[in-house]
Amino acid sequence: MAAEFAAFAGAYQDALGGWLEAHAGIVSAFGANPVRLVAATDDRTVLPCLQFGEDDFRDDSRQDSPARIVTSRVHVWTREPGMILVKRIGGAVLGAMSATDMAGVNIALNVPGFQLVYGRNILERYMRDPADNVRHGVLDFEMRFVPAA
Amino acid sequence: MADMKIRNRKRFERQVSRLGAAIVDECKPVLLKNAMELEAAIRPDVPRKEGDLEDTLGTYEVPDSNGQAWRVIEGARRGTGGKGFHATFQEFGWLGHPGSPHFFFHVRRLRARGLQRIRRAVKRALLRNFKNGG
Repeated sequence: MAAEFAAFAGAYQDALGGWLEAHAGIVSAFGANPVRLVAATDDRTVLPCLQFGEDDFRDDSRQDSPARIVTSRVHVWTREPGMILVKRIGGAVLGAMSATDMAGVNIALNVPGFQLVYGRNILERYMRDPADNVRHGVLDFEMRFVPAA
Repeated sequence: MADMKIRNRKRFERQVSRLGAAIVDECKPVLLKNAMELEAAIRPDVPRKEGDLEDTLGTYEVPDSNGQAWRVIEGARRGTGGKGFHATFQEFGWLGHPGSPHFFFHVRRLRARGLQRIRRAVKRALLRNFKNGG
């Protein structure tokens, strides 16, 4: 059992929301609209918006080194005739989650008390929604965290 | 550079020439097992409210792959409007309706196990191929 991760899920969600909301690339992709994040509810009536919170946590501990693998899904919702805005915002999310420092280490998501070991994008998909002119992007990320030393 | 001597070179060459086929033969049942396991894992989680989605879930051999490629498919091909056309919407959600992630979740969960099985099969084929004489 990894008791070190008892408070991880909540801290992770807070960090993800803060990171997406403040990232310059995402702010720029939203253009004139404010960055709108939807985490706890399914209110997607005001578009464009980012929705997150569907996370899957798996134990990846080895002997004396506890670790968690997180699979995180970010939805992008827009209302537009084409697929341009949804892809622009999706690309910005991808850029924000793939941010690396000079040494190539992923620095996305600063979760207090935990260290991100690796992060990668595992799914990027854009589709039309049954609702009129609504576009939907889905991005999945997989990340491995260990308790900070 | 040091010279390396191969004892019974002819036999070794025969064994190497057989290696590709031996690996393929050993991996075929493993690939099918991986696909069947994925299908079995997905099936209980398929949303049932709308009815016919579960009927569309299946494991199919890729044509002309000689048992070396399998696909686990759910729903109809995009844009065809066929049975289970809503599979994508069920997986990812649509406006005002949260998705029911039940497909890719299991793909990710079982990927490492499947790859490990393939690695073991390759190793088994190597050992068997070089252990057997001829």
